[in-house]
Order: sequence, then C-alpha cells, then structure tokens
Amino acid sequence: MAEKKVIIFTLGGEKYGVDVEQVLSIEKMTTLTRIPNTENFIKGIINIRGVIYPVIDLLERFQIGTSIINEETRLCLVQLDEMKVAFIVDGAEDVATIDMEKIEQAPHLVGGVHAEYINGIAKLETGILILLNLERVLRDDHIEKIKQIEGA
Amino acid sequence: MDTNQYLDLFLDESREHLQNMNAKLLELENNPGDTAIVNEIFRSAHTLKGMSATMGYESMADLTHKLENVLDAIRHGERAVNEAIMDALFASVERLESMTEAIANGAGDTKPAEDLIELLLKVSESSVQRSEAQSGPNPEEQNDMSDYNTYEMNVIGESLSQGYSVFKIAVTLSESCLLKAARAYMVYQIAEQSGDIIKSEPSIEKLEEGAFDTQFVFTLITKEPLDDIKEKILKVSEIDRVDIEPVTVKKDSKPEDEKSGKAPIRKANAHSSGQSIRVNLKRIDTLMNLFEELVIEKGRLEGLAKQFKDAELTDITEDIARTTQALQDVILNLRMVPIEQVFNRFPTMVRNVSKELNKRIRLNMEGKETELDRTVIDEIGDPLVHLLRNSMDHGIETPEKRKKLGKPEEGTIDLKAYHSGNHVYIEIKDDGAGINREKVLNKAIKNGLINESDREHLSDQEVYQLLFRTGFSTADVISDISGRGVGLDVVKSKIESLSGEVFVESEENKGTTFTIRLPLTLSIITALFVQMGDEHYAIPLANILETAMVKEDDIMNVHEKEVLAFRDSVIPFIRLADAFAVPGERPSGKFIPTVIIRHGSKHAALAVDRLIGQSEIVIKPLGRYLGDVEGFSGATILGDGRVALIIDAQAFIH
Repeated sequence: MAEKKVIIFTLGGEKYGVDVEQVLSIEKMTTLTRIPNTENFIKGIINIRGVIYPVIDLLERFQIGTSIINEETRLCLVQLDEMKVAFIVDGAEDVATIDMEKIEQAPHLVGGVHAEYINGIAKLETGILILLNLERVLRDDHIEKIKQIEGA
Repeated sequence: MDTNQYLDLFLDESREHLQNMNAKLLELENNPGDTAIVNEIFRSAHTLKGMSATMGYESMADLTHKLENVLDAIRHGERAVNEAIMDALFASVERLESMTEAIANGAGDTKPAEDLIELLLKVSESSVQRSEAQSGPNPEEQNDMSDYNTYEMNVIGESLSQGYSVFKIAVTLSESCLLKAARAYMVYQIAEQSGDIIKSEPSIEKLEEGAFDTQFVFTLITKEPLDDIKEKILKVSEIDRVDIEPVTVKKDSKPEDEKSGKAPIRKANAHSSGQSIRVNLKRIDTLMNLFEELVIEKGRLEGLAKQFKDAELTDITEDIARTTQALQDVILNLRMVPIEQVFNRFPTMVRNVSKELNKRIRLNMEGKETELDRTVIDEIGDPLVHLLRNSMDHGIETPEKRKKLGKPEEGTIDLKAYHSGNHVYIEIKDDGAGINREKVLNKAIKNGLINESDREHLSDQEVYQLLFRTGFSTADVISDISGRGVGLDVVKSKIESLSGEVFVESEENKGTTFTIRLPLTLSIITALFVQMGDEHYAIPLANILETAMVKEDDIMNVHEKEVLAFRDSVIPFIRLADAFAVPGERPSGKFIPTVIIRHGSKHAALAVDRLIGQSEIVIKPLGRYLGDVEGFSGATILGDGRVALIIDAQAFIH
C-alpha cells in the first residue's frame, strides 16, 4: 500500500498539504523587502541563513484573498527543482501519512482554489486536506508571463 | 571496470591534452624541424590513446593511434613536416575535440573517423619504411628526463648521488612470441632481483594482460653493471634484443637534439609551475558561499561593536575584519583562472578562418597568464570569438589589397590581456582597413538607426558605437564568418551582462582596436546605499559617476519627462521613489539628493530621499523563481539580516 508523507499547514481556514520531500523548513516571519513593480502575490524577498527566498502569498496567488501577516505567521520554505520559495502560512501543524489510494480527485473548486493547482484531496478526521501541485503553483502563468515580457 | 566515476577526469585531461596538441602543432608549423615539439605532441597523443582505450572509446583510441603513428614517423625523421601533414594533424585534433565534446554531452564517441584515418595513412604512406622499426627506442629519447615526473626524477637523482646506476631498459620480444605477458613477467623477475623498477611503460598491469606490441621499456635502479643485466635478461627466451641506456639527471634541460641542433629548454612539467591539485568547482563555490556568510556576519559584529563602544569588542572586530579581508583575497584567487584556457583555441580558429577567407593572418597573443574570475572565463569565449572573426572578416584586407596599400601581405591581429586597477582589459587589435565612418553612417541611415541630419554632428566614437546597435552589419557581402544577423550587439550585451564595457578605436587603413573592460570579480563589489521611505537600495559604485544635491528649480520638463542639464548634455531625471512606488511622503526641501549613474557613455540622474554611505556588499542572486527582475541585478544581505535590492543602472539608461 503506497503512502505519502505530507506537511500540513493552515491558510485562510483551509488545510493544505505539501509533499514532505518538497518542504525545506518552517520558519518564523522576519523583515520582508518589497520588490517594486512585481506581481501582487510576490510579497517580497527574505533572507534565511544567507539564501534569498521570494515570499509568496498563496491566497493572492489563487485570487481568493490576502493573507494577514502577524505574530503567528509562519513561512513554509519549499523547493521545486532549482526554485526555492517561501509560502506565507497561518501555521504549520504536523506531518501526516496519507494513503495514496484514498486521495480523491479534486472537484472544480476546493475552498476557492482552482482544481488545476491541486493534486487531489484527502479526507482527514479533522476535515479535508488540499494537496497542492507545486509544479502548477510555481510555474504556470507566472512563469509564462515573464517569458512573454522577455520575448517582447 | 566502472569508468563513469572517471568520466569528468577523463574529459578534463583530454581537453588539456588536446589543447596542448593544438598549441604545439602551431609551434611545429613555425619550426618544422624541431623534434622536441613533435615529442611533446606525441606524448599527449599517447596519453590520450591510453585514456580513451581504457574508457572504452574505440573510435577515439583508433584515431589517436593512427595520429601517433604519423607523429612517430616525423620524430624519427622518416617523414618531413609539410602542409598536407599539418592539415591532416590539425583536422585530426579537431575531430578528437568534437569527439570529446560528444562524450561530454553524453553522445558517446560517435562513429569511427574513417575519413581522417585514411587521410593520416595517406600522408604517412610515402614515408620510408622504418629501418629500425624493431630496434628499440630512438637514441634521441634516451635520456629525456621529461619522461619522468617530479617524484621519479627525485628518486633518480637521489639514487645516482648514492652511487646507484639508473638504466632505461628497452626489451623487444621476437615477433613470434606467443606468451608475451609471461616473458615480460620473467624479465621483471630478473630485473627486480638486481634492483628496483621505478617506472614501466606500458604499466605492469598492461604487461600482465599482454596488452602491448613487442616492446616494453622500464627504468631500473641497480648497483649491477649494465652488461650483467643485459646478459641476464637475454637469457629469457623469445627476446629479440635488449637496449640499455644509462639515465642521468640534468637540471631543467634535456640533451641536445641531434637532428635539429637546437633544443629549447623545456621544464619537465610544461603545464604548471609549482604543485597543484584538481578541486571540484562545487567545493570552491561552497567555500565562497560560506565566506559570504562570514562577510555578512562580520558586518553584524561591526554593527554591535559600534553600538556597545566596548574597547575589547572593537579590537577583536577589527582583527576579524583584517583576517576576513585576507581570506577574501585568497578565496577570490582560488576562483581565478588564467585566460589561457580561452585564448588557446584561437590560434587554430584563426588559422582555419584565414584559409577560408583566403587571407593571410598572424595572431599574436599576449598576457595569456592574466587571471579572471571563473564565471567570466566561462562567458567571455563567445564574445571574443565574435570580435576576432569580425576583425578577420571586416578588418584585415585580402593580400592583394594589402600589397596595393603598401602593407605587408600578412595581416596581424594582436590579442592582449592585462590587469589594471580593479579591471581586466582584453584588446583585439588589427592592422586592417579600419572603420569607414561614411560607410557606417550610410548603413545606419539606411537601416533607420539614425537620421540623415545626424550625419554631421555624431562624433567618431558615437559612429563606432552604432556598430553595436541591433540590426547592423557593415559587410558588403554577407559571408559565412560574420554578418549573419547576430552581430556585435550580441557581443555588447554579453559583455554588459558581465558588468563590462566595450570600446572601439579606429583609424582608416591603419586598423581597429576593440577593448573589453571587465571587473576583476563579480560577487563582491562596493556599493552606495540610498534610502527612499523605509527602504534601502544599493547602487554599485562602478555605475556611479558622482552624487549631487540638485535644486528643484533646475529640473526641467521635456515631453512630460523630467530632465536635468548635466555637463554638456541633458540627462533623464528619475525619482526612484516614484519609479519604485515607495509608500509614504517625500521629504521636502530645496535640494534633492541625487546619484548620477552611467552606463557605457550614457548618464541618468536618480533622485533619492537620502544618501546613506558606501559599503562592500556580496551580490546574491534573486533565485530561479524570480529570474530577471526589471530594474535590479540582485540583492544583498545587510548587517542586520535584512535584504536590500541592488539597482541595475542599465535599466534606467536606454
């Protein structure tokens, strides 16, 4: 029976899961440096142990709101291939082991998030878990837009 | 055996040997009689053959083997060096290079180089049958100390001084010998009873496998006389002959070459002076990263020392700053690579291209030892190739034309690299036609780059800079060499991406000089910090002409854009706080702190809220996700751990 370990974090009242292999660490929020003239969902850059990470607000990325940054805010550092980014999260809970066979196809919208950014959903005792598709979240139209600008 | 782990080493060494062969072939072309050069090429070919065979690259081993045969015939004087041979040798080395690159790209050593093998056979065909084919090593090589490495030479020197004799023994087995490995083993048994074997060619492993022709050579340290040893070895059956030569140590020189009568002094290790080790670049990068951390932490400590004003803390902070500075010099040095690596491929290229163009061109290179940061070395090759090709194609005239102009038929390109201050300069100077101002202007007008009215008032410098504009090509006939649409504009943008600049000087009928100026290192620079609202930004000092306090009244409006009179021209006046949409009010006042930046020959004024001061900063990339962000070339980490963006001057100057 295939299993998968995911890191669970909460954001805007929903629970999200990211493959544990793709998560580098969970960090406290520190001072952000704004990047002028970039996308709204890129909140700035941050220094974590000498490496610079762009900080992404997933709620803005999914166009379902804006994250509120306060004392409790955490950063979930993830890596996909050579790309390293930090997601703003309300809190990171724990690691869960999910039975691959119990992952269900996401409906068109889950908690306002488009199915294209989702690998699937898993039912936990405490509610549903949205498994993010980092590939789509990080590459997708953002990268395409940059390419268009460069090509223009 | 699993050869994968050796692949990188194999590729590195193959490239080194091929580069060496190329360089030596060019030398040989100028000194066809110098067998010492042939010997050196032969050795590289020999090593290459051995390596490629071990790695299982049959086609490569095959071609090197044939190459070796031709070289062997040359060094034994059975074949004189002529143009056909040189062409075949050059072509073979070129093919070996492409085979090496194919292997590097994971394509394997492609198909056999039958065409070249045939060519090599053809050029060596007319050679005299080797009269002494089986007669053991040629006397010329006998005492050639360059066959030994430093360690072996030390051992030989030491043994000789202690009264031992050192012999180089060449044993030739008879053609009919069936048990070659066994015979070799017996010879070694006997030799080892008399003394110590310090070197064997082929290696003992190869001998044990029987992987050799009929001859093997070894070096023996012994107290027994030469004749006794010879007699003992000859007792082994199936041995055709034994040649023994005593080995002596001569400092830094090898015996006079009997054939040419002149033998340049060559050091045993021609490649490098001093001992060196090969270090994976990744490790140096890791070291660099750690060091950058240290620089940032040092900054934090300095901040604390200032804050606490504690004498002892200040003391130790200053010590750390000094040590860090010294460490920085060492580490940056580690990343420095001589430009030789890039230059070395040019002689062959110039040779090939001049043949293609039917021109006679000599390339002089100077300052090959000039060192540049590794990153720059990797990037600078293409722009240089382009500029060289440009000089060969558009600069140097045909021999006929040169003759008419009273110039030597052979054109000259001087390629020169040197350090000056914090920069490295690379000059490409030709003695060709020079840049024709009218021709450039006509072309630029035709291509819509400038207006007819610009014709008179553009300075020569401005006209030359038109060459670097996109969509410009002065060649009347589009040739294969340059003028393929990708022009000098690509060169310029590449060099600018390395924070460098290109300058042109030219005089009609005298020639043209392109000068590239590059920063010594890329990752640590000095920058001026400026502030807008609560935000801090860094501007590289290299891009700053001066800072000024500009009167609000001096700012003018042209086409709804703010400009400033600066020296003799009008430059854009950019309020950074607006450009970056910095939140908050701007401080009021009659004077605005302004930084005048330059990029190439153009300027712009950047208005800020406050000038903070300059500091050494470590450039950090913004990362893959963000890629290139308009207006910024990277970021740097401040003493308190916060991040500041580095302003890209290029973005404000169009």
